[in-house]
Amino acid sequence: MVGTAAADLATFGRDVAEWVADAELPAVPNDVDERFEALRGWQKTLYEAGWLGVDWPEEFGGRGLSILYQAEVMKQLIAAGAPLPVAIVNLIVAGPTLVGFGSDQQRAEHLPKMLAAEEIWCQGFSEPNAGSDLASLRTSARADGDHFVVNGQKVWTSYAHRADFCALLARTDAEAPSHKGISFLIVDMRSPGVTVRPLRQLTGDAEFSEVFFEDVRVPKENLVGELNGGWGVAMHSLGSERSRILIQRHAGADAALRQAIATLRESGAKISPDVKRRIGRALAQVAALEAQVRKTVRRVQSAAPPGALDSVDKLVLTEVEQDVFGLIYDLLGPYRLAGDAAPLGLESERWIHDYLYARSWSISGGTLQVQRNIVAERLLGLPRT
Amino acid sequence: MSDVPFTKPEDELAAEFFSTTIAQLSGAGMPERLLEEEEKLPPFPDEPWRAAAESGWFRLLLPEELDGLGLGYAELGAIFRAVGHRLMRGPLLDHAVALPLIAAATSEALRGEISAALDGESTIVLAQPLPRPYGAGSDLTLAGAELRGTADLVSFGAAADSFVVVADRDGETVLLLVSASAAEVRERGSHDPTVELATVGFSDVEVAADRVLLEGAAAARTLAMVHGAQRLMAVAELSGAVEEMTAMAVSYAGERVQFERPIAGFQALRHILAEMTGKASTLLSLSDAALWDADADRERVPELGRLAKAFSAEPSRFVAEQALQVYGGVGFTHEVPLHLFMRRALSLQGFLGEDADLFTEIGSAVLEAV
Repeated sequence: MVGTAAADLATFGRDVAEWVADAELPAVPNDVDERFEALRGWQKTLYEAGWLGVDWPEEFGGRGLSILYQAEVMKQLIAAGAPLPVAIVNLIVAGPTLVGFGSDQQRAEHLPKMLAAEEIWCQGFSEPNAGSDLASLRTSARADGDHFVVNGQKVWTSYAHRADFCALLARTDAEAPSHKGISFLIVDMRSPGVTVRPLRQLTGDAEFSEVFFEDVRVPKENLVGELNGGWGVAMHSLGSERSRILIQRHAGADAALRQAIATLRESGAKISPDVKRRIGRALAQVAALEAQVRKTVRRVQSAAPPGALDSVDKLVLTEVEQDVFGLIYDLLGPYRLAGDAAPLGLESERWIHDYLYARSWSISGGTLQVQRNIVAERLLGLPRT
Repeated sequence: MSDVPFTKPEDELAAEFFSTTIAQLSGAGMPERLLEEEEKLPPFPDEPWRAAAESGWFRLLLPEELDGLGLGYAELGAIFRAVGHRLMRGPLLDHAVALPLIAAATSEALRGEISAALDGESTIVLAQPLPRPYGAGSDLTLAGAELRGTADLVSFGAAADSFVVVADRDGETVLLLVSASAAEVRERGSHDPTVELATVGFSDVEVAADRVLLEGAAAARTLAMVHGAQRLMAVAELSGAVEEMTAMAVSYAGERVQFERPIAGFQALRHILAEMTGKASTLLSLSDAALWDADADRERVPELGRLAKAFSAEPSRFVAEQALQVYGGVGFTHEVPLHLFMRRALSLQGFLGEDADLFTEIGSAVLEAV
């Protein structure tokens, strides 16, 4: 079973490791916009070196390998202490959706630029009154000649203020049952009538925004998939997002824990047995998460469609991430309050930010409670009444 | 019992071992047999144990050139996972894990003696110190040729023909093969439905030089491998038991009707069952990954065993306790077999180290590494 593929993968991993060892790693500023710019450049560097879109088709800038190889890249970046690419929506949401459902023209036009972070995408799914109940969304796209005219509001739209395009879900048939009247559109964020209002978040960043659409004209060739077939595209997109997020976020939690441990070691501080125990537990949790990633990568590789198992992964992922970042946060002790301290060598600004950010993970992309409902209904097949 | 809900191991041979073991144990009436026998256990070794010996489980890890099956941890782990689903009485962690590893490392003369146990003709179990702070003050020591000290919680100590005694000789570990006739064995109660426990004492027992199985670096290395492998198999067994308890609770919640609907319709219970599913899935993923990694690099067995065993306690305990909650009152009785799995899972939590202590070891190792 393991055979030549594993040997190739090992060689591939060594190639990545050698490349990263020689690469000039970018500094990662705490300021959200500065960080975005620095990592945008880093993403282009990674792409040009052949380390992104590894599992995307060759004709669209990818390398046509399996997702195992993309996971291996992330693993090697982490191992080398290198930052991860920034345009997450491109890489794990909008890009894979276009790979699966886009027209040839849409794919040729956008996919290579998405990989290189030459285009930044945002995801226009959630609305003020359509969060967990996404299918109740009300943003409308009315046909008008060879255009749609979009009106409505989206919220929690990450990086909308930096985005060139939006992957938008809008209602194209108001009469149809809620799931059956939705279409998936590509909207140019520079179109007249698009207004972005950044929202200040718990972390202090303004990474996501409200986005208002007022009579925004969208060419009909920007429809992805079938008219009124957007719900299926979105479900695929969210499922794909979950498995890819699992890979990326495991890498993030692993990196954070390693960095915190390295810092503690360098600080020379005396570490209590209780902290040692908690760090040992966090290491075991991250190892378990890695095992889960391996299983999921194999599942995705076997072309299994996104489904309820992705929700199991999200339950597992969220618990581990929140525990890991909660542990590091606790190590700050009374310095949890101070933004410019370095107790035990740990940079408080960064770890306070990362802990608070981690709290969003049981909310975004479908809350923990929604994931439990999905597992109960679709995986366990529990009766509803 | 419900079907296994999760993805099977990809290793085809392991998958085959898993399903044949399930069939073999189900055919032997497990786990219901344990319910009936609870009050009056038949003497050990019993029928399922002999069948396990005949199926070659105890020779699975032994290299082919030593008349073993020469298979790996993934295959043995599949058997243990199946045992988790159906339960089995006997010192399986000794016979299927410790003995073949020790047999492969020791002299030819002593290997012959262990070989009979690998065929199920005799029973040999480990008598070793408990993790600290337990058992302090009654250490097993070998001074000159004299063995003294006590090993507690010895699995099937009263049924054993011989013991592999893990003793301290001038600060070094030494493994001895000692006849049960030289030991003072006292049976004690066990809350684990699959294990009978005993306290095994040695009062100045003369141990001949040719009864030394392993000494020096070889003893320490083999013991580390044995403990690592036993921990991996305990985790594999737990992964099966946790899947089984989850499946049992899912099935029960679908059948039990209150307020004129199955209790699985209540979101509070649906969420518990979904959480149990997540725990079961992760534990199985970690168990499988650790088994595959162990086969890929045997040197990593001690480290992988420690990590997986430390992790396993929390999901196992969560699933056992929440399964009981889903079953409600009837789960608290012997009317349904849940208690068997729960007691076995809780028993394994303390096997070869509490999770808290193992976590501290893991944390210390990374914080002190330079």
